[in-house]
Amino acid sequence: MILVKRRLLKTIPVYIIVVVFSVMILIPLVWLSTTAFKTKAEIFSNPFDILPESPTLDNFSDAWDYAPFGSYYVNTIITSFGLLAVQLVTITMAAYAFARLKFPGRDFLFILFLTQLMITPQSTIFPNYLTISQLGLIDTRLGVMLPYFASAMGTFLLRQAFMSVPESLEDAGKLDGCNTFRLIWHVFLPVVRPSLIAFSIISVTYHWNEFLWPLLVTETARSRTLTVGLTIFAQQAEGGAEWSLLMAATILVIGPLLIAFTLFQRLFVQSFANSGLKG
Amino acid sequence: MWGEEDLRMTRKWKTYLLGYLLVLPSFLFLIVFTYYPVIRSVWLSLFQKGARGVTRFVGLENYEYMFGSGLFRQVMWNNLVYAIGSTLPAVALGLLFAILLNRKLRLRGFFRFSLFYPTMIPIAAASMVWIFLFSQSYGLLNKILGIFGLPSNIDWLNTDPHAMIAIILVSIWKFAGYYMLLFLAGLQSIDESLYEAAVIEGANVWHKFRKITLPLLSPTTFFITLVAIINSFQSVDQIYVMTRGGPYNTTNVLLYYIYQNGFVYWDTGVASSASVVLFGILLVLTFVYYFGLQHFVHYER
Repeated sequence: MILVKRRLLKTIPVYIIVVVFSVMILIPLVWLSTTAFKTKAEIFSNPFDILPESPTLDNFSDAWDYAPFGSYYVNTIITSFGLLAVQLVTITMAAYAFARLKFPGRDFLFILFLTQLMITPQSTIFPNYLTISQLGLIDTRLGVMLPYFASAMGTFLLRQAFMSVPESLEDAGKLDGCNTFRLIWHVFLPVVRPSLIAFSIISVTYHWNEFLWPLLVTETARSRTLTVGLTIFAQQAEGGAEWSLLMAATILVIGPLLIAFTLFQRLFVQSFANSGLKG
Repeated sequence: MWGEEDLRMTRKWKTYLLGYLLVLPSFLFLIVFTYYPVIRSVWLSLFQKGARGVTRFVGLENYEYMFGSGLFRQVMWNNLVYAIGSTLPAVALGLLFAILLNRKLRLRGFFRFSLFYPTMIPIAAASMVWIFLFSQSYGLLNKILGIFGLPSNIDWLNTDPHAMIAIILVSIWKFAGYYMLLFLAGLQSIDESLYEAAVIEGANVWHKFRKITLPLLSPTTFFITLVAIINSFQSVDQIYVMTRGGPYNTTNVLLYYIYQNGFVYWDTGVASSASVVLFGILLVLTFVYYFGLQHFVHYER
């Protein structure tokens, strides 16, 4: 009994600190969610009431009407998932070669690959914009995706995973008469699924959230992604006074990721934890 | 007739060819969008558009102009303030959160959600809410400050030290949860028996933190701090959305300066020179990061 009490006494301060910080960090999300359901008049009459007086969905339908969020959604989904599809092909090919084949210059090429980790996309936005423009790809979804088609980080993650596949499994596949592509598809990829999932989650999250590059490359709703579309929408809303409308639009942008994160929290957290310190 | 030897040779050559073919697609994209742009930045930084749009070779004049300009020096200073101001609190909070969550807690999933969700959502979109929270008359922040009897009529995004403080606050909010996650991974690798031994020796919470957790986490802390500094040179989305580098360039940082020169003033020479500077800074930081990492990984083995 005394032991239980002492344990409780020790954990109470922990709970207090965690709750205080959680609440502080949650404030933007709470504010966003409640404001989006308030009427325009209420924002100015009672700006600090947490719960809306008469909750309304009008802001969402208005936001959807005022700006082409439908196209923004399509563009974002195509660029983030289309890019992922291409990346999965390029990184699987390269990772297999680096992990399982011996050829002259392999180690040198691998180190050259890894230098991409040091040349961050932000430091090359300007010259890459010139390249995309010379290729005539300004305001296209391909232009948004193209600079990311090769991924050193993905190649590295997958190479590590491929290297841990036992030789015997590969030999068994070869005995069954698999050629290289069937070998990769039927033997290697099923074994490294966790790495593939981790990479996919990080890649899609990164590109769904990306802002500066699509801001530069896109010019119309033809290719514009959600994050860029939202800031354009904010500039149009009169003097930023349409808070409820803007908050509803923001929910449209962040909603899918938040839902995915809530549903698969463990998976997301593991993927991000593994990405960080291992590059 | 083909001998055994010939067969082995062709098989070897086939493997070579296969290897090159498999790395070729990635390699082509790396050349066009990673290596070439670096060379191109260096090259373009040596030219300047003169009168009537004629481009001429100017050597290092763009750099001389940049390093001599008060604006560029202010930009570098701002970036330093932004880097230190956002890195130290975010890493410290990340460590605190990790230590607090590294135990059996009720509602652990909820806490993890609320501390980590900012990592998941686009900072450009989150900045919309922050503009609202920072707004002078309808903003929650001024309201809260007012409740505590503090100055509460602050025009956060349009006055001098406040705009940078706002940008830094958003950055801390965004990244602290991510650093918590990286710290949690580090904490889980610490042997539990060390703490048990310390308790037997009569160590209190502070001693355990000071003598066990902190020393054993120092490589992790070092890397997370580097990640945080690197982030501060790459994360300008909230600056674009919230302040546009203002007021009077007090929140203008290097990447935003590149954006301005490249895409607002269309000054190719200065945008390229600034890109080279950013590239150099990030190269040094990431170099220390990856080579340090390799060293520590080998060391641990």
